[in-house]
Amino acid sequence: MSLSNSKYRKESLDKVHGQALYGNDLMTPQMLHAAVKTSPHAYAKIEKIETEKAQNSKGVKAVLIGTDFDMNLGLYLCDKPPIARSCVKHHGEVVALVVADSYENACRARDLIEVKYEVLRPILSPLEALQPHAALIHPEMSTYSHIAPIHPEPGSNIANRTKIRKGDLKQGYSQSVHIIESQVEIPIGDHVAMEPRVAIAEIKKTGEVIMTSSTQAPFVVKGLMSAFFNIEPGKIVVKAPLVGGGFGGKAGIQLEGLAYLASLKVGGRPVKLVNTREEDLLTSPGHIGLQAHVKMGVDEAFKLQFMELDYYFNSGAYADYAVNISRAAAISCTGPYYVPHIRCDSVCVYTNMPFATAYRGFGHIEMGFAIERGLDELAYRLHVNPYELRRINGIQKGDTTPVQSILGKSTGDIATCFDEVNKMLGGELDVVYRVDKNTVRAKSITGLWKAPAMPTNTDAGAILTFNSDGSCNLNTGVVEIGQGTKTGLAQIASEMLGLPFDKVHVHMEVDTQISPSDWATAASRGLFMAGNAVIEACEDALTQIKQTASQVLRVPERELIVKNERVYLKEDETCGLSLAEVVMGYVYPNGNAICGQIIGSGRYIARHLTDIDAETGVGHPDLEWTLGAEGVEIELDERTGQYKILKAVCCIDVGKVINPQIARGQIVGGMAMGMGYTTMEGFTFNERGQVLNGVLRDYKIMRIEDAPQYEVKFIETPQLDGPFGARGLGEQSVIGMPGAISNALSRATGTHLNTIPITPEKVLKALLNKSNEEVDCEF
Amino acid sequence: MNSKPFIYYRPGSQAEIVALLDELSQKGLTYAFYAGGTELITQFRRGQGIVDAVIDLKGIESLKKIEFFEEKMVIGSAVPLNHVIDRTSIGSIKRALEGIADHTVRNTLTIGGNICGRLPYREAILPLLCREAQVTVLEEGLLNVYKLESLFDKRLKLKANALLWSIEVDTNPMALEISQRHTATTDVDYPIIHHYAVLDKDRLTIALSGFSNFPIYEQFDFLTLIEAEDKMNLLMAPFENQVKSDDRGSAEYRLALLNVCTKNIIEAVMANGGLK
Repeated sequence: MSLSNSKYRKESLDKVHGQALYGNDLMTPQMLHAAVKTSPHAYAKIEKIETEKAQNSKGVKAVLIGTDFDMNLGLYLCDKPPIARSCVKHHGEVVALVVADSYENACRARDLIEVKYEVLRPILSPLEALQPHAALIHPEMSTYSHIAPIHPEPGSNIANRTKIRKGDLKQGYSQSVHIIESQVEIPIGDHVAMEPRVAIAEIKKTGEVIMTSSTQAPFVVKGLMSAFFNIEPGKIVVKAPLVGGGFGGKAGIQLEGLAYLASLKVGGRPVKLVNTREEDLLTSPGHIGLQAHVKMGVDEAFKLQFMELDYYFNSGAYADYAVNISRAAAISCTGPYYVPHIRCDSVCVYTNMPFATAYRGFGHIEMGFAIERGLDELAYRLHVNPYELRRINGIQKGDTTPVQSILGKSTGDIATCFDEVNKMLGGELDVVYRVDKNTVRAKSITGLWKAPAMPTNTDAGAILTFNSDGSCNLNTGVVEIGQGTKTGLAQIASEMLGLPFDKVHVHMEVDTQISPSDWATAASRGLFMAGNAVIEACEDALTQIKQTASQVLRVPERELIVKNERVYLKEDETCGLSLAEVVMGYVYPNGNAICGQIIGSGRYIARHLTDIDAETGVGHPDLEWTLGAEGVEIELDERTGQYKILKAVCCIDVGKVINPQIARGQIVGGMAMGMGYTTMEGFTFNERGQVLNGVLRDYKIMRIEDAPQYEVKFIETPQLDGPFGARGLGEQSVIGMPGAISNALSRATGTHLNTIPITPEKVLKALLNKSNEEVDCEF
Repeated sequence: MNSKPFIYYRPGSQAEIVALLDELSQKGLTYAFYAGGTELITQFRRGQGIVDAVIDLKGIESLKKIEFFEEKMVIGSAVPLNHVIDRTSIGSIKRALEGIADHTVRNTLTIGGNICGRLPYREAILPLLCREAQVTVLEEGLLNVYKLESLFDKRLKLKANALLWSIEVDTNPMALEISQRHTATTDVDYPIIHHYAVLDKDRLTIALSGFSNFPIYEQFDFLTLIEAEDKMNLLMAPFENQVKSDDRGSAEYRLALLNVCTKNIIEAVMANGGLK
């Protein structure tokens, strides 16, 4: 009925009319406001904090500093004090917080706080942090609690090491006739979600803690708040209104802990803590960086024989999601290619940079860049078309992944994705075209894959209630972050219940006391998991509808069907009732009523997932893989190094397209994000570790003028355990873009452009170096 | 965020602003002019540019007007860039101004603010320098007219308590007028070089922004250029030693782009007005 249709999003009209409310729109007269003071230094001891002037400043209710609290917070590894205690570990870290009756007064007092630092020499890259005598950024690491699947190495700067050992590397080498090595580098950067983060906390006299937060993960926040602050889970209520973009940046716990501690300090009054854009960039976490070294070999038929992979992820000063990102990159370490022999060490390393949290692609975008650059280097050296090389090695049903789980019947069709991308780009991906004296064009292709990286017991739920006109209300724990999942879920409910789409009403806000539990709106699993829960809730409701109707109509339940807002006898449509007559309980003409309202409930929990072995990586952590391919065509001006992405294409096997326009929007959005990431984003630092581009005047993100022509194709190999065969598609299209752009530019220039962002200046420099040194034609 | 309060004034006439400036200077109060506010607001957000008073210029009608006379356009200093872009018929001026900030910001960012602001780019001055504009300045209660170039040295050198009132620029088409603007990555950014060139009668004028720490310009005699054997050197030499290096681009890269821009100008001169 409404499946595979481009229905408008349920929240669209509120958004275009300015009636959509976000976290920072919430104001109450009792509300107090917080402002943070942050460190200008990347690494420094805090010698003294002078807060007296701030305490006495107008409107101030409380001033909080690090030594007020002795606990650490942390998503997977408890390494972060709520406010820096004795030492700041990155530029922008919070050193004090002021609560006042207005934001202006809080800022005024904040500016009166004086901090004396002893500045230390910062560590500014993973490889530097891994030097034998590097200073320890977290000397007390052995005391940190952490979840079992990550493996910190106390006495070093390593917050996690995930190992993959598959096959026999020696055999891999001996079967290879061509071997290449390659290194890539990605700086840390930011998500730049449109809405800066906000958290509001209130502690009631009953002990109940009420939080409103711009969060992708209200249930994670609830769980962690309970654990960190020893609050009964039932006494924490986390509300997630509409969120203005997350991209992973709001998937952990961010401002909530600080807002809670601030409220605690002022007797439980509601305290609002909202980031300025600059704080959102530096103080709250951004995206992870990477230094990687890859080595791979192929046999005479160009079949991959082995990969040796060292991924050094730059976590910044704290671990947050970064430890799990390095783990996810290990689980998927080869990209979507079958490789019989693998060694991978994926390491998450502390540095004195703003810390990293989840980011669209979650380890796969970084890993993908390293792998796709390596593959293109092979293709270039062996004079094989990069499309052919990928076609030969693309992973298929029956193959084993790096963690040695076997890809089953639901495996997507990456071969067709490669074919379609090749076709959309007009083939000849190994040819550099000369347009005129100064201009050349080149194309590229990359593969991509992603599985959600999440706890083995990740869950979702759905509750359906009904209205007197037969329409229903759908309540799930999925947060609307701009991705449109709630609309997709409504389409699934509409299809299942035979109700018009407009008669499926969606509860937009998530409230952990009202909404069923849902791990997090992250990892591209919202539609998959909550979709399965919605199907179960609909089945439950249908059963109840038929139960009521069967009593009234005096027919067996199994002979009834529900369709077109009616429940009726299969062979005689006239023997039936409207849903309006049934869903709130049936009322006989004489006033007698039966059965009561219909309440459907559905649930989902990931099945058969396991952790991976600490020494070999063997396990089954991957619920489902989405496979796809991407490519670009670029035009390069050889005089300036400036280039334009003319065309960007993607073919992706999503199992089933529930809403074509929303699905295309997600794919194109991911490609755009990947383009910005590759061509212009990333923090720059001075040698003292201070961020030089911590404002949006200087931190450039892609604009609509930079957009190429997009082409998107979907393949629908059903995911047998997905709702109507659908699998995740939210993040995936970001993954192939760094490889695609760098491969096209490397081919166009005959150089290796392995460091992101690939700016025109870097391209020109590579061109000039090449002609100066008269480098041989091998790349 | 600016946590210090300031006094807000909105004078409605030339006489009122003259009186106000007198009063503030007698009291020794610091002030900032406010027209578009794009620079003030961003400064205040960073806790910079703190002043005792802010003088809103939008109450003075003549500062907000563009007037056309024969072969001349007179632009009030508080006219937003987008109004100039909409009303000028000179394509290169349009293109040069369109490079500044983005469309939304240009709705308020004024031409006077761009020229007199603290940021070192001041791109709006490039076509004005090349077209030998005249400026009217309010100083000591009087409106005085100057040649722009006579007041310009790295920035517009105004006396204390003076205000750029309006700009008068020739509207005739020139033999050649080319704006070449390059940024580090995306277009909406400060230039690493904005190269503006005008050929008029016997003179080629080139003005640059983003290349040096401030806008720079140079005039070249047309005949000398035509006869020069090394035209590239002639047109680049006055600028080369003023090149800067910063986070947006190295000096080497700026020089490479200057080279490309200069080549384009020579080609255009030779092809177009060159041998007339």
